[in-house]
Amino acid sequence: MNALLLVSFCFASAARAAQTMDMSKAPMVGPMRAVRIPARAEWKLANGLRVVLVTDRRSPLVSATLSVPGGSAALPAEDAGMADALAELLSDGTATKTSKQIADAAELFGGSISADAAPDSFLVHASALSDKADAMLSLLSEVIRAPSFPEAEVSLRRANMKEELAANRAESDFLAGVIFYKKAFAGHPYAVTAPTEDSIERILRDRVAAAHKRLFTPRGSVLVLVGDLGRSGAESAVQKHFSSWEGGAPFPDVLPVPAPAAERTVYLFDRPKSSQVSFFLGNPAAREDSPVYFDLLVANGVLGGSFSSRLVRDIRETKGYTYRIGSRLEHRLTASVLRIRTPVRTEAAAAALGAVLGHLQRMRDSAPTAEEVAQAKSYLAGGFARELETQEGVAGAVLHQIRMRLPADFYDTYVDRLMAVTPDSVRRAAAVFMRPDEMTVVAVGDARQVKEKLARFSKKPVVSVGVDGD
Amino acid sequence: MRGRMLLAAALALLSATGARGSLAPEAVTSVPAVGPPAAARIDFSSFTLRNGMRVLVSRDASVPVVAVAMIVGVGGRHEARGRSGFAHLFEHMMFEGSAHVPKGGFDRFLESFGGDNNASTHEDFTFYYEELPSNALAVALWLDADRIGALRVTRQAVKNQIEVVKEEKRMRVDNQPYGAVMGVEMAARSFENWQNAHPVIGSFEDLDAASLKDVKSFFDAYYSPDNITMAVVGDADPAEVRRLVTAYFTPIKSKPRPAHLDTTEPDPRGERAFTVKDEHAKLPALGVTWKGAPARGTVSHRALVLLGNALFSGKSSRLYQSLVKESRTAVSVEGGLGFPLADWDEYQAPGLFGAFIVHKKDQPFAAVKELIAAQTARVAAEGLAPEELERVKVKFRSDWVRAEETRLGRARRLLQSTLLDGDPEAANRELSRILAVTNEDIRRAAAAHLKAEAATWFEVTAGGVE
Repeated sequence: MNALLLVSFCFASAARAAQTMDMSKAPMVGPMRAVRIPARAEWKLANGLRVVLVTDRRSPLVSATLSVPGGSAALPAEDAGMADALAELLSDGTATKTSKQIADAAELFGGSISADAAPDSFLVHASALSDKADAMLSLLSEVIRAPSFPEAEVSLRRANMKEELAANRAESDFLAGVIFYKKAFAGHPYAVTAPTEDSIERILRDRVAAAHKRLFTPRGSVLVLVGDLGRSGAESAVQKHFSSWEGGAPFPDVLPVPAPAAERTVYLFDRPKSSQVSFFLGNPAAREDSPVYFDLLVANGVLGGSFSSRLVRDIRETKGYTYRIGSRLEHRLTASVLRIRTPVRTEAAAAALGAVLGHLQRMRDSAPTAEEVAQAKSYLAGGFARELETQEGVAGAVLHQIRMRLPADFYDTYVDRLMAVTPDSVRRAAAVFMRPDEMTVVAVGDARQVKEKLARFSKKPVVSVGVDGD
Repeated sequence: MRGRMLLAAALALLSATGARGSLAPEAVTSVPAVGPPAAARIDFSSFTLRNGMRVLVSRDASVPVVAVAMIVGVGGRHEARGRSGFAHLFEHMMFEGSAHVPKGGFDRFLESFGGDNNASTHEDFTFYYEELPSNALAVALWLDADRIGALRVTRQAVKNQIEVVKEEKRMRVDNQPYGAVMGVEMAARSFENWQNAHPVIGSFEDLDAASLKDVKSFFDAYYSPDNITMAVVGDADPAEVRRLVTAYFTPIKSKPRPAHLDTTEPDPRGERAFTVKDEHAKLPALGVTWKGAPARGTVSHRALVLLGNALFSGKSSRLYQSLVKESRTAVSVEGGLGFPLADWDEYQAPGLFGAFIVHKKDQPFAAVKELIAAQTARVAAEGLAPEELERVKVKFRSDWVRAEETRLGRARRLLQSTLLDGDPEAANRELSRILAVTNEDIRRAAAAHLKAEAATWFEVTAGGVE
């Protein structure tokens, strides 16, 4: 009887609440709650290896990422692709294990191990169930210290890289990207982002082993551990597996990228009969620790950072020139760039490029609406919060902050600084960092159909380039 | 004061409706313990609205993010003859606008908060989710309530979405190498009951024949609050979730549903073989299904989950090693319990145990078949090697834990357990039970279910040009 009364009381109040719900418009919501990365502990081994631990006990998992200074910028242009091959080959054989045995061992700790070459560093990543963290660190230590680069695996890698290169070169967007970085970072190691047939031929066992010996060293390297692991357990396991690692001096930072030409230049790679023109265009941007970075981040959001942005709404939804368009900020250790990318129908190429440059100019000339700014801010804040949902996301953020040498509180103040951005501050940042008249513009498409039409976008003649941007 | 009383009433209602969310800890310790703690349990509470909609709430405030998901008890197996593809067509309609949300508005509202959303249609259910910053929880609930309570179904939208679905079928099934074999033929030939045999994607004929009235009546029949369970997982106060969900969803009335169509399947009637020509494939392939796979919640079901992984999953698996590495007869191997219809945990019986092997041209079908039959016979006689079983269990535990890392993953697991096991708490007990499977369980399940007379073989000949 008593329970029945309670139940009906509950229904009555529910019905009352329901009557007052206004379905005609979206409910008003409050600001997003602050997001903080869990606290971290840091220490250094005697050999110079820096260790960062973020204890995160939300899931019984642990991940480890070792960042070694160097990466693709550490190898000369004629060795393009060698850094990627080196990274891939780390888990293809060691002094005591074949590639299958490495894969089996990773399966037995409930995870995986892999590596890749970023522009400024090698990243070796492993993950495991947390009760098997020791086995994971043991294998991680083995692959970075004692890779054997078996001859058969190296030649297989060469063969696969050639096939991948051929397949990639069939994609206009790939070619446009290669040419864009070649020009935007001209004269700098960052300019090379893809191998060539010749550079792949130079990926020989002894040369890979020599590059590994030169670059893989504890000094300057950082091991980031995230997950269900406490300080004392982590400290003894890292000591056990990494303290006897020895090496020379770390690879030094690359120099800043030289200032690019101050006049807009259009580069064209001819792809006869292509039904689309792939555009990459951009200019240097602010580093993430710049005082105006968040203003520029929101400016990019308003311009082309989400589905609701100006470029998507206008170029895709209203004009229908393309299915895909977007702009983003990219960061290397000593260079940042604002980059817009879109494949458009060949007939619409000139109109689309004109419209994109027009949007850039408008970002400089007048402040966006308060609504646009609010929308870009909540989109960015929401995406940031969702990224920290997983250990992988937390590890990625911590690693990025360390590798890019951002302030330690960069992510803890992220949402607050984002929320402080105003329409006026967006316009001011756009006026400095969106420079349509000075952009590097790359087009990949049918030159017969587009070369003349693109000529009006540059005072100099359109520059024809080859498959590697040269 | 009033708020507190309301909360007390809420708790009373919770126990009155028999929710399992506050199960005492002893219920957990009664599960056989295997090795280290398998996975954290998903703590949740539950309530049911007056209209019958059940809601599960699990709080995790570690980041300000919340997942809202709904499982609707309608899938391909609920479709009547002549209506194939309707459940999936309807999933598309749910994004086409409702009384207060214009076409395209659903995505835009969510994106403006940095949120994400999607949906999928399966044999036994349709799944919808939104993942977004927790301050915007009310927006997701408003969007869902508007589409469940006041979906706008127009002739034009139906026509558009029929074309979109047909394009999806062309892309994923008709023009995809092996798409038609795995997506249509294998189920169609393995099952005898049309309810199980027809594909979720449907046929062009049935889709083209769909009228506005048909689509509306399908919605009325199945998108009823008492056929929906919602999960809200993440940074949300359960009392606030209850207040909002009650306010938004209580006004929606439940509607009667047609009787559940009969999905029982006759026992296998002996070994069968079919030849299928695939115009898009460049290499021949072998497909196989074993009918009569055991029901969820049984030891042999759990044993076949692990056996499927041991045989087909990853580079360490038996058939990858035997077919791709050692004999070099095949280029790819996939399979397991549920294959090719679904993952092992996303369907209700009847299911299949199946595999698909793309093999080299110079290898005759019979040779590949022989290697598979030899492996299944060996497992039926000897089970797995101890270290093999250990590796498969570690991998399984790690996959399970990873799937629960996200709020969406936890919501999905709670909702599938609610609908398919009849109890959300199954989400918390199944891992330990799967890890408790013994080698003898596996041997026995292989002997009982992977018999020659339950197998249907598909010889896929390649019609595509190299």
